[in-house]
Amino acid sequence: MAYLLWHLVAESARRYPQRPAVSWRQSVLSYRDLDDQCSRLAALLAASGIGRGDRVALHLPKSIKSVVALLGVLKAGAAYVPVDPSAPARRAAYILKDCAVRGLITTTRNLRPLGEFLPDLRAVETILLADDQAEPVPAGTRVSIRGWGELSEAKVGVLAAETRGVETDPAYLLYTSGSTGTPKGVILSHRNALAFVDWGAETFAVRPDDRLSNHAPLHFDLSVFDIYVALRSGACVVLVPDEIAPFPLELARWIDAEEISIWYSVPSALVRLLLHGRLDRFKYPKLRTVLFAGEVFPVKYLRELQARLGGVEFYNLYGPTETNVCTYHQVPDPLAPETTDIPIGRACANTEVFAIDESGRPAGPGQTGELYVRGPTVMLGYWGLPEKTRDLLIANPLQPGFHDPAYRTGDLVRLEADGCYRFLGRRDHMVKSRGYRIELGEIEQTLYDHLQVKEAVVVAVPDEEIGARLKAVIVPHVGAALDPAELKAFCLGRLPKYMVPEEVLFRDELPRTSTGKTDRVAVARSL
Amino acid sequence: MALKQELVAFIRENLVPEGLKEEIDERQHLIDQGVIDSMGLLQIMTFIEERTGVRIPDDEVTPENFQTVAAIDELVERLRSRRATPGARP
Repeated sequence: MAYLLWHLVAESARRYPQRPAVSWRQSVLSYRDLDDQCSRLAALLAASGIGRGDRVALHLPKSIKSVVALLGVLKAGAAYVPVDPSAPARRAAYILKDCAVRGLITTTRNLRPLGEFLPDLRAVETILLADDQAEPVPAGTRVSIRGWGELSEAKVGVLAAETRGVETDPAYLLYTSGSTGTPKGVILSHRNALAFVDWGAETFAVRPDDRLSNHAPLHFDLSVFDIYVALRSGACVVLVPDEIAPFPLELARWIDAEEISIWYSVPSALVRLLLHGRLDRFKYPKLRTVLFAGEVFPVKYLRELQARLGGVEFYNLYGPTETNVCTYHQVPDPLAPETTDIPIGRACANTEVFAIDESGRPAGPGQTGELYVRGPTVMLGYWGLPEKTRDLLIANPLQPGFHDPAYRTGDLVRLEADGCYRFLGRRDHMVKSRGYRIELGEIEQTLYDHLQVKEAVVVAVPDEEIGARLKAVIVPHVGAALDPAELKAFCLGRLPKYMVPEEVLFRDELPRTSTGKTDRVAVARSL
Repeated sequence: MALKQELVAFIRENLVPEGLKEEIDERQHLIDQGVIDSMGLLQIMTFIEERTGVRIPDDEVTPENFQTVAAIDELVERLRSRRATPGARP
């Protein structure tokens, strides 16, 4: 019975020991070897005292080792926390401290910029270097530094944790932008992920001969589908190498050469492939299904892509990190000429969605409401934020009789006559760029941290290719000498690149609404 | 200022967090260092176009041409001279 995520590997290793499980650049790991390596890693972590109730951060570039790492952490009974290795060290350190990770799996190069924050990360006891350059640690330090080479000597027999986990244990934490100025950790259990993975594997009829791309980074929830749906199905997850992902021509060649059959990414990656990848040079003989999620796909590009990749099925998947994918919609081929946007569709199996209007009543067909989600894919909560959790993970308003949590997405939707939900916008100031969630408030709070900033507003200018471009409008303190470069550098040291405003503008004052609040609409109009 | 120095300055200012800025020079491998992800690549291409008027054709957007500042500079020079050669296709 597979009720923990790593059971998927153990089961597929039993059924398909020789089949490829993970592929990256020239390396391929079979199911037997993947199972063996994650057992060894789990044993090494267990020998370091890491197990149930602990968290281990993964702070390393994508590779086969990063897949071994997440499974090894799970098998040890702990939860993993993928941290963007290209984000500023200050932000990574915040995340590591926030959820008090005891272990850190990283590389020598990624560890270096974290060095100055390490003394403050009291919980970190074990650092495992995936590039095998473990250096001797001076006596007296509380941190033990281990090398990947130690996996070959790990004694798998000592592993006992595997028998103790339950499906409602946290499996991983994904940090997303937080409106109060710091990222927040979404806690997903094994059950949350497996309910989604079961749905994905069955809905798209994934088979052992499928090859699934993994384009999204590990800290982005799209990766959950790629990795675990492949592992559940005995299929192969093929990691897009970091040196290929940015280059549309290379990426098109890669999809063809790697015989990818199921592609999943944000629409902006597909739009770049369409506009700059010269897709007509290759045939993509195995490609059968293209899934996209994370943002709105501009219909004119989707039409072109459908025409270019004849015979491929396209699906729009929808769902915040907090709920996994909760609705989906197969894009008709060809799209009707009058189609202007793609619905988010209907609820996935084993998931319920409904819309609640402003007065708290169910929104009927044709009415606008906020989308609520309930079912086994809905998160456990936000790490260390009980109030935030209570605010968004609420008692199901349609069923007051017993404990029955539902997640308020903050997304405004309308149920159409055909039974599909349509996404209309947000209730708050969250925007999407390249599929990433961005709370404008988090960027504004960061700007306020700069001593010479008196007021700050960040505006998202809609952009067809990437979703939104960020512009900051700043009122400096009187007499302050500020320039855009300094503020950008300030943000770059604190926020991931996709949250750094592309443009910084200065004003003497900001427009106000009648209630004295900053008039965001007027600011946007003034740009 | 030569394009190479401007590119180094642009990358340091826009694409690299504090503490790693000094690592960036003409020969630093930009892809391995995570400077060139899809976002960084677009920002660099926009910068080159605004600064030099050279639009980089899709065929030239390859890892080889963008692996270092020196390689990007060579690419821009090549595209410029191609444009300047009479009879050459733009």
